[in-house]
This record gives sequence, C-alpha cells and structure tokens, in this order.
Amino acid sequence: MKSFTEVRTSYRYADWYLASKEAAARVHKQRWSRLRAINDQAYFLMMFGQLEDHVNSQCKKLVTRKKTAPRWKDRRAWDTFDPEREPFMNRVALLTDKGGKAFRQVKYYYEDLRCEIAHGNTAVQMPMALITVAAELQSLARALHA
Amino acid sequence: MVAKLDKRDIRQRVSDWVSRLTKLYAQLDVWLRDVPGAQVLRGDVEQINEEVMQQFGVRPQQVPTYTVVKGKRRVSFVPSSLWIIRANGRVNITTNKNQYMLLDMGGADGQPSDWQLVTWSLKRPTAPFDRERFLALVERDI
Repeated sequence: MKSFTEVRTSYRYADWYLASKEAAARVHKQRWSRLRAINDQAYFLMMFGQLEDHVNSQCKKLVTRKKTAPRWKDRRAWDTFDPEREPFMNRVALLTDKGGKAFRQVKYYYEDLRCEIAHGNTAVQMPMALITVAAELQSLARALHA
Repeated sequence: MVAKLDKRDIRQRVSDWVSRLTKLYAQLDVWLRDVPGAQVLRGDVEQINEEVMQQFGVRPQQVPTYTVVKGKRRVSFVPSSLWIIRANGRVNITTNKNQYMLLDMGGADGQPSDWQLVTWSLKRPTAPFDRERFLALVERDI
C-alpha cells in the first residue's frame, strides 16, 4: 500500500473542489454531483488497486517461503503452484480464512464494487463515503499477510 | 440490492432523509443557544436527482438547508447525496474558506443518526459531530 496515502490525499483535494462546486451550484447541482460520484469511483479503483498489489506481494512471499521448505513433503504441494494464475479471491484465501470477516469484506469490495465499476456497470453509479472505505481497505491490508 | 426495492421504499427513504436533516438542524439550534450574535438562515434546496430515484421514477423533493451567520463568518449545511456507499447520506458544510463533509453512519431501519465529521486524520478519519466541533466550525475553520 505504498502509494495509498498519496492517493487518499489527492482524493481529498479533488473531492473538496467538486463538493464546493456542488454546494454552491444553483442550476448545475446535478452535474457536479455526478462528477463527484465518478471521482469517488475512480479513486476507489486506485485504492483497491493498492490492496490488490499488497495481496499479490504477500502471496508471492508466502509461496516463496513454502517452496523453500527443507523437507520435500512440506514443499511438494507448493512446488508447481503459481499464484499469478489463480483468481484474485483464491489469492486472498491464501492470506486469510475463507470463512472469516476479512475475506467477506474483500469479496464485497472486489466483486460488488471493483469489478462492477471496472467493467462499466452503470447500476453502480452511487457516490461513496470513500474516507470510510479507505480506512476499511487499510485495515484489510493489515489483516492479509503471508 | 436495488432490484428488491420499489417506488414506495424510495419515497420512504427520501422522507426519512428530510426527517433526519430536520433533527440534525434542531440539534444545531440547541447548540447555538450559547453563542451570542449568531443568526440562523433556514432554506430549502431541490434534492439531487440521484440514480436510484431516476431508476424508480421518484421526483426530487425539497430538502432543508441551514446557515449560521456570525459577523463576517458564514457556515452552510447543504444536503448532498442520500444514496452513498458505506454511509446513509452526506451533507456538505461550506465555510468562508473551507469545505467539510458530514456523513450519517447510522439512521438505518429507524435507528438514530450517527453524524460523523470527516477529519481526514490518518488514524481516525471521522469524528462524532458534537457541540464542541460544531461551535469550533462557527468560530473558525478546524
């Protein structure tokens, strides 16, 4: 999550500008509101991208460690395993319990929001409380480790 | 989630939004009692025609605004989006120099509102919007 704080700071100023335009608008309030929602979603994708990068690096760390186990019995299941070929949620499952809260939260953000927004689903055109979402993504990153 | 709703649910939620805003402003009135020279201007603004409302053909309603004027200082509360992911409505607060945001983190299913002021702190990005924070906003930017 190297660039997370910078992305968050950049969002703060972009939202500040759009919210001030929306609050002051007499006739184009709708337009500014729409732009603010798009801004929320764009920054969400960047923030989630930081979490994806974190998951990838933690998976790589885990698999590398498992592949270097001294006993063949301990490393045989990992020897031919390539996390980059796995779907994203399988990679998450390597880092946290599939039945746990962290897994469910990542699944919600990934499947219901990230994929829908990234693939242009217009049904998900709501603004976000992105400051709250950002805090949750940071908390999730702390919960997902090798 | 949206597909399970109907027009009546959407109207009900808009009505609840107006009710929560009215309660918020009533609380601001109480907090302002101790502030000499503060004047309150109440108004209405047409609600943003949000995507969910458009989907169900619900027309935007008038929603209340609240402005405090004290000397040259002005603090305006203008409702923004009601449908917002991970919150239950947003109110923009505009002062002479700055822009703030209030999020209702409660208020669902008849529960009381939980208005949080976004502080942008890294450790705790929101804080309860209480008397102290409101009066600080009226006096200066925080």
